[in-house]
Amino acid sequence: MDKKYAITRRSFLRNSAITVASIGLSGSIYEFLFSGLAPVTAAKISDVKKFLNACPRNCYDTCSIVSTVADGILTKVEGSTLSSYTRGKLCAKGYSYTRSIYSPDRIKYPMKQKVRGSGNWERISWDEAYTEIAQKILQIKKEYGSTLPICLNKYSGNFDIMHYGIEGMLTSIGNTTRATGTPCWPAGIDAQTFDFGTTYCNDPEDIVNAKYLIIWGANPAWCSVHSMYFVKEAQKRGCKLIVIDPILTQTASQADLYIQIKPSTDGALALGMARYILDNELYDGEWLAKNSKGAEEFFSYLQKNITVEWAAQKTGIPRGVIESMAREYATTKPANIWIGYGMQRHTNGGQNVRAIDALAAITGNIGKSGGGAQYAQLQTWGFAYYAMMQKKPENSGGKSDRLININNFGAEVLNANEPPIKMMWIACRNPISQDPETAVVNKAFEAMDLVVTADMYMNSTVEMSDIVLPVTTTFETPGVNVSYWHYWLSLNEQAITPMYECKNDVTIAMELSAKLNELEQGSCTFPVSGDLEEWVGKEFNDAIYKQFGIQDWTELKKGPIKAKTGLIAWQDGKFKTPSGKYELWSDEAKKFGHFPLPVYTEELQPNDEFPLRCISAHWKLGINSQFQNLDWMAAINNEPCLEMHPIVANKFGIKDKEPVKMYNDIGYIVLPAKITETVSPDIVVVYEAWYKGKKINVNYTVKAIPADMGKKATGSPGMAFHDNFVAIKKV
Amino acid sequence: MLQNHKYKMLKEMETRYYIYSLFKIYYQGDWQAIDKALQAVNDHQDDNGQSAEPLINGLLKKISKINLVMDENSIYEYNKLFVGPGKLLASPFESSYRNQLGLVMQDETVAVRNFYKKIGVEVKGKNGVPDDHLALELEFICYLLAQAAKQIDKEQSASPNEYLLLYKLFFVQHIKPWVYEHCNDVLLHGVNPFCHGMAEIFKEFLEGEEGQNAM
Repeated sequence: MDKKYAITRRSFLRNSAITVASIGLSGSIYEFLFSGLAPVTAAKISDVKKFLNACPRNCYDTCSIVSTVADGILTKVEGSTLSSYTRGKLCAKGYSYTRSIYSPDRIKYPMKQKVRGSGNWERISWDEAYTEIAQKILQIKKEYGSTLPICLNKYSGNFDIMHYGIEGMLTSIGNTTRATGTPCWPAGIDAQTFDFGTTYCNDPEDIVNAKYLIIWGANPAWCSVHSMYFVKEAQKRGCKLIVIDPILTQTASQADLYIQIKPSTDGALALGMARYILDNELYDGEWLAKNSKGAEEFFSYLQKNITVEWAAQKTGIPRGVIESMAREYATTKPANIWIGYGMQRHTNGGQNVRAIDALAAITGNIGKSGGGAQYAQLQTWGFAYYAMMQKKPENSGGKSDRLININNFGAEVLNANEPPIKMMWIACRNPISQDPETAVVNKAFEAMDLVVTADMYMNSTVEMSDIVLPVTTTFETPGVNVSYWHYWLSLNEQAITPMYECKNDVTIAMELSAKLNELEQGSCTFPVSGDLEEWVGKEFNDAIYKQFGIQDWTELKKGPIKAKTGLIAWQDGKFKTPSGKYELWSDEAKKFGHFPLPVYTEELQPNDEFPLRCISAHWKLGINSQFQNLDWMAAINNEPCLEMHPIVANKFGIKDKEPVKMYNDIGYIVLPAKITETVSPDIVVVYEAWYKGKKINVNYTVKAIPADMGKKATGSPGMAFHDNFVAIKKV
Repeated sequence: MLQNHKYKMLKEMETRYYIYSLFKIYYQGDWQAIDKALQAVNDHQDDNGQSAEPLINGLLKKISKINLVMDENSIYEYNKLFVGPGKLLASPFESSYRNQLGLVMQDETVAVRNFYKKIGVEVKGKNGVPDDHLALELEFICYLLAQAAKQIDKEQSASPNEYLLLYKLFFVQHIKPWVYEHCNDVLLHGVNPFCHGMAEIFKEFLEGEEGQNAM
């Protein structure tokens, strides 16, 4: 009995399935005592209210949302009609938010796992969670002389500006180790940074003005559904739509011309087109003379190294198609190229983007409505970052933060020494699902003394955590959002009370700071109190006010607002490169170890052992590991599959839906075959997604091979996710 | 004779009340209170002697033994079943079973909220936890039984009153349609003797209630 009480009294008390401050016994039948219920104190009228929200996911569209709340319950979400980008509609993922919030499977309380990965969780109070975490932080600082053994891995699960408070929290305890870079788009960002000075695109609503549109390695019909309105509108106005992709995507199916290119040879196609444009004097010499640096060197490179015939051989695209596309692109003004993120996830991805940028430059399609080399924009992100910008405590040890590559996270954690990494804080990320080399990432987690993950749902990273902290959804907390694509600014109002014991990341930071200071005064500089809406207000500055034409952030309570200026990228011709011009020749690129011109870098080739390239593209019903776990999505598709061309299937004797083992030298997965002519015969496709309760994860086979660029703008090179070579066999 | 009938009726109601209280506290997850609740049931059994209902007698005996099998693994299993952080194996929310999409805070939850409201009660910290959590529904039943007993106690004769009718109605509308299935989920997924035993007892008790009251 003693043993039982030692364990159960304490543990079960923390185990309360519902939030009841003081339960006590129910009393006798004659002396009933309320615990979870209470007498209605006053007649309350059930009201229906509307709130403004914004989707904070890592998506082009960053939708402005209107939510309906009845008697405190979120009953409906819809796209805001006040945003001319969202246009009153959401995607399937957006419409699923009511399901996301009200799934019974949300993480509800702080919980602690007895043995990491065991699945044996007990409920703990927030105070117990903070105490254990704070004690570990202080113990690490004492043992190692700094907080560098504490590593933050946070990225794009929630791009709301307030969530940069997570970085602020880590800053406020001292120098720490940071997973730096981005898995998504760094090679392309660097390429545009070398060419233009930064990544900056026209307002996507301006696509309607294009007369010729090439969507190159992007699938907006799945991944930017609101942009498709503008694409279709452009087509209605006479624009010709070309889609270049190794996969015949839903976007490609709506094109006037679909070009199935060999993966990773996009630069060859762009350079072949450039050579044709040069040979036929279709370039815009006037624009180049006025705005560019290095045109002569670039043309010389083309003449010496590039032929259309070579490009045709490299890309698998007939010479005549390349020539006609080059002619049409160069002579139809304005012409727009949408450069996708998929095509830069190669070891030559950055150079390929530079080559495509060059096409836009030599034809004078930069700085013009309807034109552009559209990759992304960071122009509307100039916030104060109040929550993020925290001071480090004095004498907290270490000289500066230690940066490790987010795209080789597992190995870099394991290799870190002096001091080693002993504790991880994971927020807005699911690295065990999404990072390459899953087995190595798992080992890194196993090597920790303490792993703390803040999340909404159980996932493979939470499974390998010691403490999980339940976080609020978008609708339960205030915030502010902008897009890396369009130019709208949306306030996110708190629409409903946080469910269960969920908390906002900034609240967690404040309360952890209070605990740290309670245990050791001065150990954390993060503010210990503050109203979250006031925190939102502090994220704004004069530059943002000016850009959006407002006097105060509260004006956003009337609806989202679009930037007033800068909607056509580089219209003023003032590039942010060292020369102030568009740089076909980039000395900055040279400094980072690249050839200064946009040249062709040979693509990686399959080999006899692993003859197929596996492309792990984005799935339409999820964003990375988010959404696919929801009932709606699972009802449509709850099992990944391996897409392959009939030629590949015949070669390996595989029939549709048969289980197939896809493997290479680091791992394997087994999943059913889907035979389709939508993928080219030299690739197989597994959409990257995390499926609740399933162990299938394509990243078991993905090596942490860096892309060629990314270091300059994002701190770490990108990830060559699509240079994954595999073999397949029928199981 | 009438007084005897009244006494017997109140005693039977009290027994039910204690059993409902026990399960309410179980689903609230407060072990200190569970311990007291189990003790209360045992004390009541000693005090009451043999119940006129053999089923209740059997249950009381089973309940008196149940805390002996509680251990650390019971907590882990309890959390897997009812709390998380993973997918709940036996969700404690009515709407999880009755809503077409298995979601909480939907029409099914609002129906429970409205039922409470008619009787003048609501959930503390409204909207922070779904109104149809089993612990709250069981607390509501306890409240109805307490109100019914209070009324009977005041009256000369023992006759069913509106609170007992409301109890039956709530049982039929909000317990019967899903709690058996919920218990079956516990029995299907639960291997720990404590959680398994509690589900068996609870199901048996509810079946008895349903039969006894012709619900």
